[in-house]
Amino acid sequence: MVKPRDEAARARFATELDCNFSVVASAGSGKTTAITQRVLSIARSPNATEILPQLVVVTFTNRAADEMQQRTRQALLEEHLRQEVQTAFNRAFFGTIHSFCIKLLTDFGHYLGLPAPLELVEDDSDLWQEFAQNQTRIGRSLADKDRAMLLRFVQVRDLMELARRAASAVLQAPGLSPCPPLDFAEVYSQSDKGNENISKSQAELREWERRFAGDWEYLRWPVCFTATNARFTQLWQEKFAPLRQWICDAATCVAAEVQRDYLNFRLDHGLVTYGDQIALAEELLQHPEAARRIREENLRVILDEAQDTEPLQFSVLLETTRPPEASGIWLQDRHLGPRPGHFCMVGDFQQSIYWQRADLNYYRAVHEALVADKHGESVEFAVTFRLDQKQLDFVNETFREILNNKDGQVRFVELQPRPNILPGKVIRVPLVANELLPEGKKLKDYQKARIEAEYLARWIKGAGLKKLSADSWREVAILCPRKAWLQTTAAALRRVGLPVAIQSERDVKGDSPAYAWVAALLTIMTDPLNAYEIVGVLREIFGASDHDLAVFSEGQSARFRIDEILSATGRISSRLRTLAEIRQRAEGLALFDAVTLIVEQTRLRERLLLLPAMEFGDLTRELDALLAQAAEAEANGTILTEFAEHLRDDFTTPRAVRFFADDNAIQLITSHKAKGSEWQAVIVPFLARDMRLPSRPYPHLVKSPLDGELIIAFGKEDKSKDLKDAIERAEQQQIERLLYVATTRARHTLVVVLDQEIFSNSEGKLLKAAQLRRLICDQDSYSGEFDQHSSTIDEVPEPSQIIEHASEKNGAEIEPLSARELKRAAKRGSEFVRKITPSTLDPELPAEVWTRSRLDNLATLYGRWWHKFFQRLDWKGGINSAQKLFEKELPLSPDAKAAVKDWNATRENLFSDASIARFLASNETLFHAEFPFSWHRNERSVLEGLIDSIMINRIFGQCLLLDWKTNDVSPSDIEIFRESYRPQLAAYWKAVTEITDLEVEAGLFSTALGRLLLYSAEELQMEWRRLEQLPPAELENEIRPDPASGV
Amino acid sequence: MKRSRPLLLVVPSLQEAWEDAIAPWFNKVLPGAWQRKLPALVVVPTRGQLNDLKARLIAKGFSHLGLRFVTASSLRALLARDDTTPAAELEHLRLLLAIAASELEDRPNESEALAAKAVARAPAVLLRALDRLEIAGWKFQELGLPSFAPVVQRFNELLKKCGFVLRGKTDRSRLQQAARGRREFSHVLIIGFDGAHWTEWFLLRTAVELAENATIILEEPRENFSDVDLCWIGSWEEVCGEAQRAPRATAAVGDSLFSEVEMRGGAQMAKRFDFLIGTNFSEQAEAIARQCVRYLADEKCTRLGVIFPGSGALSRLVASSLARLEIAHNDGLGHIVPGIFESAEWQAWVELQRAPRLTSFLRFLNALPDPTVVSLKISRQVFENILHESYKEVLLDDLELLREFCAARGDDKSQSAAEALRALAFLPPRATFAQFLQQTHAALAHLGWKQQALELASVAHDWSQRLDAKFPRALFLRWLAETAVAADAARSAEGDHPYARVQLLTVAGAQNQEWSHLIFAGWNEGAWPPPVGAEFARAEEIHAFNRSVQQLNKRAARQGSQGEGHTSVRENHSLYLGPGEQRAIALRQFDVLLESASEGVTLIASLVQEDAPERFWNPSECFTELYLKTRGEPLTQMTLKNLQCATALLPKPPLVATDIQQTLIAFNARRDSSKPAGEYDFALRRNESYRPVPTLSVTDLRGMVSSPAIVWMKRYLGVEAPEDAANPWTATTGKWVHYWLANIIEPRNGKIFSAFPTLTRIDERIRFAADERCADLRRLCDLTGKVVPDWWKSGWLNARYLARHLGAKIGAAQGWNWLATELAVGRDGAVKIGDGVELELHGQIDLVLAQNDALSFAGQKIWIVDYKTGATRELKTSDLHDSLVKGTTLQLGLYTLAIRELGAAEVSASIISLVAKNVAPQLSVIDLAPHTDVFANLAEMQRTGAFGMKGEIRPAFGYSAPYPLATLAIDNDILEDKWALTHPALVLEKEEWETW
Repeated sequence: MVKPRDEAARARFATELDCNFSVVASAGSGKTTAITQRVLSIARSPNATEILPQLVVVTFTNRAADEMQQRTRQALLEEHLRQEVQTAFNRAFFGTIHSFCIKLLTDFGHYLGLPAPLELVEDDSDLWQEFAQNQTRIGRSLADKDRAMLLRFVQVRDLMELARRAASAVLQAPGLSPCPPLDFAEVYSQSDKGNENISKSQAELREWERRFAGDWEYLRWPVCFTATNARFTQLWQEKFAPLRQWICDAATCVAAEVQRDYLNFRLDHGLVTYGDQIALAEELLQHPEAARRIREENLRVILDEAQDTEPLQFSVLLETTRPPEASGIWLQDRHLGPRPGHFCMVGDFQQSIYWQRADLNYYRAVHEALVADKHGESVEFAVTFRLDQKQLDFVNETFREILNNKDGQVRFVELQPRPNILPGKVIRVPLVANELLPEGKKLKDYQKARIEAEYLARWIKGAGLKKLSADSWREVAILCPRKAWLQTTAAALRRVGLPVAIQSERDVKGDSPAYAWVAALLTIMTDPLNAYEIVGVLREIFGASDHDLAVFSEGQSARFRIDEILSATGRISSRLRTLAEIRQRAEGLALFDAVTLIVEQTRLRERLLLLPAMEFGDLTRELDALLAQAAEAEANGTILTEFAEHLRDDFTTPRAVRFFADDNAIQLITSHKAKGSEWQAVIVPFLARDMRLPSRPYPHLVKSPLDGELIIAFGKEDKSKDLKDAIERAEQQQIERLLYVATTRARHTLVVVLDQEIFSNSEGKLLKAAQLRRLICDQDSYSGEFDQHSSTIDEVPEPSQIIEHASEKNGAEIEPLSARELKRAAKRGSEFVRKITPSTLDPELPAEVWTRSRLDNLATLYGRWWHKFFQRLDWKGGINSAQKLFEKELPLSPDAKAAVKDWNATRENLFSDASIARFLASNETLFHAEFPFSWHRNERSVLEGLIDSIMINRIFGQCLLLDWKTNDVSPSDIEIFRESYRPQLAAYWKAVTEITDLEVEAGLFSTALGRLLLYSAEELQMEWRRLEQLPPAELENEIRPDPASGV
Repeated sequence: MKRSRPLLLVVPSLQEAWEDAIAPWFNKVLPGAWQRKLPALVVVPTRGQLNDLKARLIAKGFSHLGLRFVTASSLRALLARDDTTPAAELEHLRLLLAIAASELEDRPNESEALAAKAVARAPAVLLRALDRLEIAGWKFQELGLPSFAPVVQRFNELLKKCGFVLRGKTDRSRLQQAARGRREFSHVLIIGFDGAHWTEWFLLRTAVELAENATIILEEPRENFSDVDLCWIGSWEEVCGEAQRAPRATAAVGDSLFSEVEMRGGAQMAKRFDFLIGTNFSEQAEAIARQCVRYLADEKCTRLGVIFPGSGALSRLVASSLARLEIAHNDGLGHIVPGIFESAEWQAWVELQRAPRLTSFLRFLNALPDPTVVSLKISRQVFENILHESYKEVLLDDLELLREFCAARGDDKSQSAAEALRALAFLPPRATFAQFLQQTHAALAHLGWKQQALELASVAHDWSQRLDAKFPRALFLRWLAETAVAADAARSAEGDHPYARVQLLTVAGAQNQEWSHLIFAGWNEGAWPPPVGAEFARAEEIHAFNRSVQQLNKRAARQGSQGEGHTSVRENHSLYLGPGEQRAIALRQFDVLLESASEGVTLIASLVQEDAPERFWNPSECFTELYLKTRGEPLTQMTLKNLQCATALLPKPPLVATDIQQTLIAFNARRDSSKPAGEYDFALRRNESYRPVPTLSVTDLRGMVSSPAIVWMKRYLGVEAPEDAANPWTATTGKWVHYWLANIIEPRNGKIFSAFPTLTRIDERIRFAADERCADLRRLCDLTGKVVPDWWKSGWLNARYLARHLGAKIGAAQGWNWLATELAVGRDGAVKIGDGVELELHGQIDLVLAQNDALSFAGQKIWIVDYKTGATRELKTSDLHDSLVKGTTLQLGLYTLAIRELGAAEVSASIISLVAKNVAPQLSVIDLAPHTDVFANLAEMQRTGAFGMKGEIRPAFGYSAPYPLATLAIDNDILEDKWALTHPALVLEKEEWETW
């Protein structure tokens, strides 16, 4: 077998376990395989059982981590290594940096005063509101004078919001110099030369200065009316710059202070954001004792996707791997770096596409520091196992100049072909304006996009899978830089009948009909007067017309209510009645039961099925997932109101794309999200479309591409020209790298859509923010640059065969069920001994089927108290002992008054009742409370339970069993009372008689009546004869009294 | 009766030992159990094992009276029944620990302060550690965490004060008492316990001590089992003497799941292994139910266990599926049903106490089934409105402050709201435990929540007075939330059969039983072995401790199977199970369980996680390993996908959608881009008699071009989205500025215009009005002992600045000697737009300037000014169409037309803002002439009630009023097309992004 050209580098990374590597791995060069190989080498090493549990493999996404873990596990299993090695491997950590940080915080967070466990908060609106409202004094980190000056120009709420928006980035409070003096003499000295804007601006400034010197406690910046690029404007800005800079610095101090306060507030609530997880872990590694303990764990880190790693994240990982005695920050002092073989990272500078978050310069610095360290090495993987020859040539030709290692842009790594590389193809799809655009009509951007999308859809259909060298639509992807553009393409593809799956989280959870409708239904069920949401349910779920709603309500919102069931016959009112009925039925049910009921009764599943599956995917599956979520929430003790609230809170959080293995659809995905994935054919449309986004409102935070620092800007004047240029350059360079990512995703076919004729401006020039402009080195128009390395569809030869891809054998395990099987199973499933119990409060028996808690009833509480009393009763101690016990227990009674009353009645007869006294008189009597029994009734059922009180006298050959009843019963109702408990007592009587063969007496002792009510043996015998004719379920119903009615 | 020496039996496996060891015990004990003075007891680790044992007895036809079966936890409860001091509940202990920690949060030693803070924030982890250390006999001090020492010391003091002891201490002292005390059981059988149960070591020994006759049956550990298990047997031998060992049966259990012959493929494997993959829990549950049916249909299926890593969604869904298929089973995990404390009103009350703020109060009010318990005088809606209005005035959501604000208002309703708020009892920020309890009871009494009060009364009555330290409310509320639990376990009628053939159990619950078939459900990464919690001790410390408490088992007469002799724990100690030990035990439990199935085993996992459906969820290590062993091929992601496809072949009953087509009709109608807005698109039906013409405010009209659907719902259905309470500043700032600027003139009775004040006077009046606002709030804060927050003052100063700045600009206007502020327009009827086009509207013009002191507008030259507090630029005729259609200029345009209608000779208009350069007319009524069609379109909307929808329901940029939750998004392209068809004059000429 021919080895790839970079085999030596790969072998070094896999086997040199005492070396720290920085691997630079180009697109498709097999990073996962390389990491797997290194882990395998560790597993083969003599001290594998020691090292593997210390292994920390960190990647950018959970998905990648999972894949890495499974592939490595599989490889290990296939090597048939010792069981101990497998076990040790299973203790290794695979996950994201965030989850690694959570692990550190869980184990060591107490050094920072952190609670455990910490809960993640994604939507912090409520939390923020509470925090903000509680803040009374802001700016304690500034001297009074400075604080007063800052607050003359900046609103406190803005400062607070900035702190919130800083999120994971740590605001570094700068050293604050004194507030600079102002001198506008030069501004005033400018003559207006007929430009009234200058004089107006000067007047504005004069007035502003007067106010500044006067009693105006708060000031806005004066407005300069001259043009942005005018000299006067520049002078104006120059003169204001020192003060503005000072304000920004002071604001940063205060924002940093608020940021810390808000973090503490979150921690007091046991909550953290994603950013906190990293920042706190980093703080932990600066805590001397905690850091030492962590380092003693001897962790070995392998970091994947290093180019996406943020500075703080790098810091956590690097610091973790230093020797225990290390201190400070390694990247700063370069002393005692990561231990040999303890830190490796794999990344690609060319695929760095998150400059606002990750910091390319920092990655460079880490790379250089690692390589400069005595234990560090750099290796490069340039052979691509993904791209075929044509794509490889296209990428090499196109990006050689773009990724030019200049002005901060990365260096291009020439892609090398793998052995036995296939030819592949790059297809260009030129769009001709004359043929596609209507003559003389100015179209809007979205209309042009629609035209392109429709053309492309037809083109794809025409080309077919064969020409795209794909064996299924799932293997064809369309990549766009903007999520919003995917919809237009999806709609066009659907119109021509092609299957589509959007794989980027443009949507929020609430965009799924299943989610939105369940959330809405649960909301109105828990808030039945919420007219606004009721309207939503009626018009969307039930399809009510707005006209009918208007006629029904006549503008009165109060008519939309489901808190009571009203008689109704109209279109709208009958729906409201239905909803009110469902709500009533759902009340008190367990969460899952309630949600299931609501879904079933509104026929939500059927309604969801009516919606176009092409557009929404498998909605019933999403509904099932929500039901599963309800079941999970129920297990966590969540109630319906909370669950509904949770759904609402999560309504606008990004919706994860559901994986459906059975989807055979064209994948629509953003270029960002496409990183790490590959398809057989990749199409890149909208290259000439304008990518502009609206500018963010001020004030805001901006990260400087120059030094990575976070800067506060209250207006555009706060950004220096250098900074603006740097930002623009960084953005453009990022687009270039994003294009590198997009064009290196295809295994066999890359399709580039050349739409410059559609989107160029009236002069035929490419728009400033068009991707195509970046691909052709910032030229104004495209002039056939790609022609040499691409062909049109007509030039693509009809492939002789579709590339065969190994498809593993279908793992079908079982066939569908037959009705006969089901019947047989149900029958066999029912063949067992049924337990039937007459006891209501038997702690040893499984909980029964309740619709509400059994504690929510005063009678039950009272009954439980008495039962506890009787359980402790010492029969042989006599009435005095009983009295003492009563007095001791009385304070615990839920109804002391009733207890005293009942006790007064009870104590009269308890020891003097003839039947009881007979047993008390004998020394041979055995007294038992809560006595368990199990009577094997027949092959199908067993009678089990606990008898409240039993007295057994073998000498007499007799037994008396008592059941304590604490019902509030009057003498006139005795017969009804006896009758109602007769089945229960008959069951006890029968069981004890059968087991002991004694003469058994049974009765109720009523605390309210203070009397023992005995049943005669004949009565019980007759009752049992009646009962035993009943089927088991009915029998149980008869013998077990309602738990709430009289324990 | 005198106690006999306990009998210790070590058997190869409990299944094999039934005839030789277990059945004889029952044969001996059962018949006379009821005749003995003392009851007999059987102790097993779990409810599942208990049911299995009972089922075996039932199968043999045994009946019994006086034989009690208990698990470890119920044994503990049984032994505690006669305790004078009830055992401290965990929530009480957590409270004490948190109190101890909160007292030490301000210690000068930073490490100690941080440790205290960590514990006060979450005491459970340390308590768990202390409890387990206590059981093991390991001193916390030995862990080398001195920063926690003060907290632990203070906690011990509080424990003593309240008369509480940790569970481990109770168990240990109960054992000591039992050794000296009287016997309580005639016979005790302890069965099924192993090294996983070191935490029950003293408890089980107590049961032995309390028995006249005790028998302990243990399983012989497997070759590769951990020291923990070996030491368990050794320790029992130390207590009971040398164990009697039963010989291993012929089919001895080895350390491998397969014999060597099987591994080489030389023999048919005894049982069949199936592997299933469901996409998610729902699909898994369906597949499990189907596999249950398949197994049950097999004659060889004697007992089928569905094993879950723990309770959760999957077990619930499986139980539900089985119930639906009418398969009787034992749902050993059950599910939760809410009780009185799991109600919306209770939870809202706790939240209200935690943070007495507007939102928590409104949530509480809405959660009450009967809001009259709060106020008889005002309805819920009125109460809510009053508080919302008050909040918009003061911008502070503190309930006390809002109450005083309402009280200061003159109207009855506000007074009633204040009264109701005053009557509510709130817990103080700090108090003693007894004070908190007392106040809680007062609050519950006020609300008439008797049952809740009763439940709470019993939990702390005997120790509340002993805890005299004051502590923060948050700690009390956390205790309350943990204590006030009334939820109950439940199961469906089909799942309530403890002796059923089909058992839904946890791994622990399924141990030591015979199974013909097993299904391991939810076997994904992280499920089994379960993840372990945080640990204070490190692995090597735990290892060292365990080694230190072990000694050579002196009672073992023969050498242990491991060749080194058995060990036992030293007296008064037990082993500490750290993460490593727990993991080893979990894997062993899985292996044992796997072996116990005789016919078939299925492992099933999810392909994706419920909370991250875009990613694969790896099967657990056990799943992957078993797959390779049984199938001989790797479990790749492709294999997983294939398995999922096979699993998903389940035929589902077709859903019938007959009378619900209306849903689709409405859905399609809303997405038909070839038709203008119709009856489903916020429009009245054409050609219908129902056609009310609502009077619209100018604000509504502005909304009609930006978010027409929202205005339609408001005007035709009377429904509106709740206001965004989180950020009322922008609206309030605008309101204040307009209000203060309206005060710049002295009103003249009966006259439209007032004389133009001087610049100084304008500023004075603005400042006066603004300062009044601030003084009001200051008074309110003083009254409630609060401080005016910096952010409030800063926001107010900003508004004051804006008003003064705009006032100064107005003051600079030349040639306009008369002015009117807040001039009402449209009250008397329709405003004529053009020939035959009229709009019913009303509104208020910010400022109207005139050159003469006229009594009417007739013949006057009028200048209308609209204040903008944002950075809105001056009006330009070139942008007029788009600015009208966007709504920015619409208001001014309408006012201009309205004033013209009133007879003005010349009308001009301006926007005055921070960035407006010129204080002069910017637009005249003549400029509006080319745009009459815009106004005509608006008039048409009003006349026909056909509004339609515009803009995305959740735009990525900018603000939009929220639509009802159920509203499904419609592609913006469709909306744009429909809008253009419905209102052709209201279409923007420029691209949206061209104006950025």
